Amino acid sequence: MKVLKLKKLLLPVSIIIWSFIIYKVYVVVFDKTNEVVMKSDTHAEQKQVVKEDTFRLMVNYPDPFLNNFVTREINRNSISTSHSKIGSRNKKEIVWPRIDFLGVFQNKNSGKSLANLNIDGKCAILAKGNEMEGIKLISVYPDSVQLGFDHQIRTFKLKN
Amino acid sequence: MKKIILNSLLIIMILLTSCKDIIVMDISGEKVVLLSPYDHLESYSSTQTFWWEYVEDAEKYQLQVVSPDFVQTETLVLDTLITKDQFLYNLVPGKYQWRVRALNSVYSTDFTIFSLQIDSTQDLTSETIILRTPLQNDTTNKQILTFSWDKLYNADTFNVVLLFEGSPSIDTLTAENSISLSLIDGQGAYVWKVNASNEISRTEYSERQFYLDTSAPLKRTLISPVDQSVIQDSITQCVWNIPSVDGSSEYDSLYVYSDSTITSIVFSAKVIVGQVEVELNPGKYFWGVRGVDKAGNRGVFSDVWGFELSTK
Repeated sequence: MKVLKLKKLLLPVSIIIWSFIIYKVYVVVFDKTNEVVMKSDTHAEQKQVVKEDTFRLMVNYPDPFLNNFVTREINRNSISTSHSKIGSRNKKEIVWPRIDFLGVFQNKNSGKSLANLNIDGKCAILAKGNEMEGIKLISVYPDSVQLGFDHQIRTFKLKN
Repeated sequence: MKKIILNSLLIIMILLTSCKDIIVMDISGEKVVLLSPYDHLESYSSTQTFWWEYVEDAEKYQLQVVSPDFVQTETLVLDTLITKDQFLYNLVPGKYQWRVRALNSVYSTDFTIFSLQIDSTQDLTSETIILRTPLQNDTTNKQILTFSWDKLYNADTFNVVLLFEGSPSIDTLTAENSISLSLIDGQGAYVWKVNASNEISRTEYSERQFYLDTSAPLKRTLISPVDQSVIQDSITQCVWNIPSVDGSSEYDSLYVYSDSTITSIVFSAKVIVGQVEVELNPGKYFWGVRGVDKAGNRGVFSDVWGFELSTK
């Protein structure tokens, strides 16, 4: 008799709890109106940060050496700028030396082709595979050469 | 008594003969005699050989060239120490004074000064190309070599020729006074020569020889002390075999280690023969040899043998 009473009491409680859980799941998964609002809110907040967010460091304690107060204003824009600078620094920019391809030689003894190059004002006649000043001669053609430098490959045409 | 006199005489003789080595001779009263170019020479040739007489007991000479003179100097053209009695240099047209003094480790003579004037000309026939690097009969193991020489003020282009075993390897023109060339003909004797030219004349070729050697010295074979041997002496003679090979001259590096992992060197020597006497304290040692040639090629390290020195 007691068990039956308890079951009658627990049944509505469990129905209420499960209903609440199902409602919460439905709201998260299917309710798109809330999602759009959330996104637009985030966007608005970001814009605001970029435009005019400044804050003040409350260094309102006496300088241990000079015994005076210092207050500094920091603009968040300047922080974001410095972040972007660090980001660009990580991207390594490869600066090639000044190179002129001046012509091709044919070695009579071996029949090998040699490229006549001027690398940063220094004259060099190099064979395929040779490296000078970090510049590696990859291929020699009658009107051009392929050079490698710091994991980059470039073709240089014959200078008229 | 006779023995004492003989010994004393011997000591005095030794002291007298070695005195010159111990005492630095005072040369401050000497004078450097300049030979060429003679004083107040006016020349069209920009290539000048500065030449003077040797001074006894001098170790080196300081040559200075300025423009226009040492009283009102505008340009210090050259200031160099030379052990020989001459120095070749290319000047541009202008008025110069040059001076030389002799030096040893303590003393120096006074400077002797001459004047010189170089006049401008387009005629290159009396000029000389002064080659800088590589030096005459140099040996290298590099595949690319940089050749350099002195500029001439009146030259437009330099013709650089590289010959391998007598036949042309590279023949090119450049306006610069250096060029890097690939040595694609392989090992052997090369000659490089340079001349200068302009619209009306050219110089003679200046040339030098060098050698390309890319072969590493062969592995050395150890002979004695044999592996695991026990020697009852503080002096041991390390002997090994050097295989004969064509190419540049070689030397051997001998290493004696106190551990079998060959990390702690207790003795090392550079030798040109396969034999070295080594004095060591009693203990266990390991030794090996590596050949290195003049071109910079390093051979394979020999086997490592161990030996033990024990007191009698």
